[in-house]
Amino acid sequence: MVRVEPVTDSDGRRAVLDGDLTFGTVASAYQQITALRPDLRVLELRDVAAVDLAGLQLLYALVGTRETPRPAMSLRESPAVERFRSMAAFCGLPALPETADE
Amino acid sequence: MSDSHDPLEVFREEARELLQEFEDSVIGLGEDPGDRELVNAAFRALHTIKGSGAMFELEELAAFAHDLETAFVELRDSGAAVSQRIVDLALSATDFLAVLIDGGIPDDTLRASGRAIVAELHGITGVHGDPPEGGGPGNESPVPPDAADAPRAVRGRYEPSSATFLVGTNPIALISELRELGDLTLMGDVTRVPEWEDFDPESCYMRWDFELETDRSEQDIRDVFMFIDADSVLALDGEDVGTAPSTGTSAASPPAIEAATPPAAPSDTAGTPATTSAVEGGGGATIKVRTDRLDRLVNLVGEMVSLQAQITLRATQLDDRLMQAHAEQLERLVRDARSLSMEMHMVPIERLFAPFRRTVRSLAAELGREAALEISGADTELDRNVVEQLRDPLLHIVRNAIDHGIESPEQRRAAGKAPVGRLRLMADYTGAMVRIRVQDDGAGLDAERIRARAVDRGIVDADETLTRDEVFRLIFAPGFSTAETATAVSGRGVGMDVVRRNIEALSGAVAVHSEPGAGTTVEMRIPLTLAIVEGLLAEVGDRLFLIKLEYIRECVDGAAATRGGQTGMIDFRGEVVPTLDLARYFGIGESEPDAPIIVIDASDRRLGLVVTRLLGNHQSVVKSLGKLLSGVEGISGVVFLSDGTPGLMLDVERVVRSSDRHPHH
Repeated sequence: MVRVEPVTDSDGRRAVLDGDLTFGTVASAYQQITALRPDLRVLELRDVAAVDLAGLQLLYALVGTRETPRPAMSLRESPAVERFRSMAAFCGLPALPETADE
Repeated sequence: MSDSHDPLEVFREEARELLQEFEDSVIGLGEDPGDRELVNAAFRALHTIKGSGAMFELEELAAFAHDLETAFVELRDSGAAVSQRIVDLALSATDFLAVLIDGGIPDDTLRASGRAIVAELHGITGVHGDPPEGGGPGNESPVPPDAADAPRAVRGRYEPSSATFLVGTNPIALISELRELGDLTLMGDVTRVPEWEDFDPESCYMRWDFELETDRSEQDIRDVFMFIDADSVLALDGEDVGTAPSTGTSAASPPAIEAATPPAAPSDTAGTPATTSAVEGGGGATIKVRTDRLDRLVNLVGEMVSLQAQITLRATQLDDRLMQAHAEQLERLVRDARSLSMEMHMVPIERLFAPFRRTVRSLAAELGREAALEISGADTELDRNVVEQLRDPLLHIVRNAIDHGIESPEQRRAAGKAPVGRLRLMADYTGAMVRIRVQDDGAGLDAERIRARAVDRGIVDADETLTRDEVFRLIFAPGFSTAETATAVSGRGVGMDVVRRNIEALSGAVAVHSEPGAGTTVEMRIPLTLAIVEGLLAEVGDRLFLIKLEYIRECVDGAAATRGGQTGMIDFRGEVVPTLDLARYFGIGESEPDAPIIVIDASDRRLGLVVTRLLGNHQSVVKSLGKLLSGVEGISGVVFLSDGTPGLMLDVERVVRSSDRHPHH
């Protein structure tokens, strides 16, 4: 189960992802994020219980890597992002780009 | 996907299948101790159980599988023949593994027994190092199969197929295993991940180049990847992968990645797809689907069949040509959907037969017999639900064959037979039915003894005249048992009666053939599927009945039929065939003398069923009988016709048998 919802703040271009980000949910997450683009600028992973390589790959598609970021989108730092970073390191994959400014 | 599916249950189901494969291989080794492929197969099964068990943090399971695997690695690498003691120990080990796979917590005795098994196995196979005490993949120190191998660098590339996630392969688990083999440097590449708009979230775009400093063999490295799908690529030391190498973030200085963070990711398995099966080379990708979803699909298609029949009827009534054309098109589509859904519900009968290899071995040892099991037709496919319901009846028949059929080695020698009895499990198709036979070359049934027992039990009168086949059929009577002393294996006096009832509950039939001194064959005929039936619809009085097509031999025009000299007989192609007026049978009137007759074959007999009117072919889902009808003999279910009218499913086997008792209907 995954839910991506826009957050109402000053610029309204942020969304929060709740739930697992795994193979079982990436298709749904992709659809929900796509529906929020192109206005979306920052994604926050909040209360993410399970992560896997398919979830990490989705983040690469969304924000790129540290060397080749996709500037239109960024991640907000969170424990889930940290888990994805660890996973990337364990698997010898490129690091995710720096997180968005608060 | 993950919210409606428990990956642990998927793992358990697969692990049980792997355990069965392991057991089959071990039993095969008992018969052919030098078969290296069987050693490899046993090793592969254990290896996967170990790896998957570790992924699910089932540490005791992973450790035990690892210890067993180590013994089989030694066997594989030494080329030594497998002794019977190894076979016995390995089979005992499967019991312990089964408990762990099912999530059970072994008691101290079982655990000690597990350790003893592995210790003895390691002693026999010459595995170095300490005997297992909760060792395993997590805390082992890799012992090279060939200690003379010096550490060296092996370069390789792993390029998963795009379907890798879909088929349930977890590259993280493979990377974890690779790390166990030595000092690993990984260069992951994500440059193939496309722009968001072109991105398919369920495809895998990543790949890895690696360098492994190891003293393990190349085969050990390949074993890590043994279950990747056919479209994934593993290339070692310069092998061509078909595409130009490309590094990830920096071609000039690829980052040497160390496992700075403990491998938390491998345990994050909540997202394991419901589709978790290896892809077999040569064919299309295979995925596993939850059986309840498959059942729902079959039921839905069944409802579609009924609805489509209603639409076709309505189109005909309205005489609307366009609607009729659409209805015909729909009929074709529904027919295809039906065939496909039925195919998806079929499983090879190997699934039913395979466990009997061990059962026969154990029972024979227990009863002081020697028996070899032969299986044929294992690829015959049958509805999954039918297979499940055949397990107990088949077990009982096999037990009987070994307990009562196959003689002791001494008795067999005295009778001029080979000391090892032969038991055959056979399956094949006969029309829309599957025939399953259990055949032994034992002493055969003793007709006199059966008859005497039946008289003694009041099943038949002492002066009743019975053919030999009729005597044999008495073994299916309730409470019948010829065993002088009931054994723990069979002879409980309820067995064959329960077998018969179980088979009939599947709309099947069971028969027995036997030759004194030559052996006995129990034959079951089971419909291919229980889901949707095709039958001939007939009117009997004012009721509608569906008679399954597989029983029907021919329909005879009642007016043209040559009646025999006595009531209830016709001349059918030169053969005198008894008839049964279904209207009289069910007490709903009487058919006209020129009423049509459906000639059927069932329970080894031919019978003409007299009906009021033939209405044509019909296919339908069969619903179970309600409480009110469940006691009515000769009816096995309810079907619904195109206009919603209920019809009755004729229980042909039951009707034929009861016609023996009441021949003058």
